[in-house]
Amino acid sequence: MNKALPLILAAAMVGTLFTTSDASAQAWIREPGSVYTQLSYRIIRADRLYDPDGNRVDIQPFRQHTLGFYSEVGVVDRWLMLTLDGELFRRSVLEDQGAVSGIGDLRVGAWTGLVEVPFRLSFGVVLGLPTGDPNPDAPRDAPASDQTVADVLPTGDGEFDVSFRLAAGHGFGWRKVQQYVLGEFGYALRTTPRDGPGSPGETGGPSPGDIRDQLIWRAETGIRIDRPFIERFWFVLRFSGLVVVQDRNADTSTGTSRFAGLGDGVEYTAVGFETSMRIFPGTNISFGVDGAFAARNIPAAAAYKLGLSYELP
Amino acid sequence: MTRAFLACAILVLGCDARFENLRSGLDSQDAAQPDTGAVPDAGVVPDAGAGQDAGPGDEPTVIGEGEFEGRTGYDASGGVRVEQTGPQSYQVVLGDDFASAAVPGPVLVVSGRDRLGTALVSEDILVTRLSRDQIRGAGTYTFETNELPGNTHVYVYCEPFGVETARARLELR
Repeated sequence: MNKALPLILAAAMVGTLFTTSDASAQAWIREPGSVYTQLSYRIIRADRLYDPDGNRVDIQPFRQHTLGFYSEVGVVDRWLMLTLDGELFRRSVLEDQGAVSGIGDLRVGAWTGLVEVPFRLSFGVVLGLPTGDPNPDAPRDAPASDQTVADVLPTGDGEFDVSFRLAAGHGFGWRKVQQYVLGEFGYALRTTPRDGPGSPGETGGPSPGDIRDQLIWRAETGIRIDRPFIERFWFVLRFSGLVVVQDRNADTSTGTSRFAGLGDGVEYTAVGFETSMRIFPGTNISFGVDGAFAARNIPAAAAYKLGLSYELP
Repeated sequence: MTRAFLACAILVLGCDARFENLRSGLDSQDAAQPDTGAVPDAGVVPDAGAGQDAGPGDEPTVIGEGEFEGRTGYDASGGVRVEQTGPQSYQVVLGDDFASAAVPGPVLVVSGRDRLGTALVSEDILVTRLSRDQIRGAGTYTFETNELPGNTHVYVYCEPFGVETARARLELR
């Protein structure tokens, strides 16, 4: 197992794991002018961490609040859809230690349709932009230990990354039930953080290093029952994962460690449930919960999300 | 719409995060300390001493020796000994072969407890905060205390998250 990493991973991890848009369904390329956008609030409260061996260990209570968004817009019929998602606000709190607030990272994606029948298949390229702060600064006259705490609560990973993804989906109906299934698989090329926590010369932190590439996957199904009132609801079950694939057995004991999920060595297999309700035509509210049941270097706790979405056909 | 997307991206580039101390003034004596070397955390561990490297001319007495082992999934190795340099003065001497995992905010702790849990207590002695360069290789760090705990352990401990990453149980002489 990878030797050293990451307590730091957890705080930001939550960014990687739970900020990926749940409502995204990129297998279906939107028609030109069609827009979907969602604003969501998430909270995670953890007092345990998945350590580098995948065991759960006690940590100081940790909380993270994020205000995220996800948008899709169709540009060219079948061939081009753009996506944008990220965190407008992120606040990580390590109880009795410190808290960091700021903007998180952004992801911009471009998707193109490859197959429309008998199922949808699309290919996307998603670029991760380091708009968050990978190395928050404590006040200049603050205790040195403040900087140590600030280092472990970055709001961004500090690196540009690009992922190549395939998404397949199929919608169908049986009796009074509408259902869809969705699968996504991708490869994320990670790079070196520009200014991560513990850069040379920073207080007590680890050294920056390359973030190893990862595989991304997701399998999801949702159903809607066509009965009065009930037809307003979608019920979604989702499995997702992140796996380190590059230099998997590398000795990372002197490398980067970034509690907060924005760094190297983060892995998880998670399950999530979400329900959404149409409150006006095109407008939905949703509630979901995600949690990893096998993971490394992330907080061992569920993430709860409340969302408000709007769709312009 | 495309331009709106790009505008949103540009607007948020370069925003710095804001840090807030939630430690209720525990580190008031810790202000503006250098990045490397020993930094006492008097608010948490009243017995902690100045924690500076031992100077030449000391004639230490070895109190105990041990070997580090990794804890909670982290690897660690190497030898450590605790020496007495004065009536209430001690030093932790890390061997050339000492190696500990890169974790945020590592501190060197002397304690009588078998495990530290998620927080240090007043009986624990926070010897020094370790910089990135100090988690491997030899090092000597002094501390002061009235009395060493009987069942002495030396830990490397991730203070912000409260996680043990290395522990050495000392064989007392």
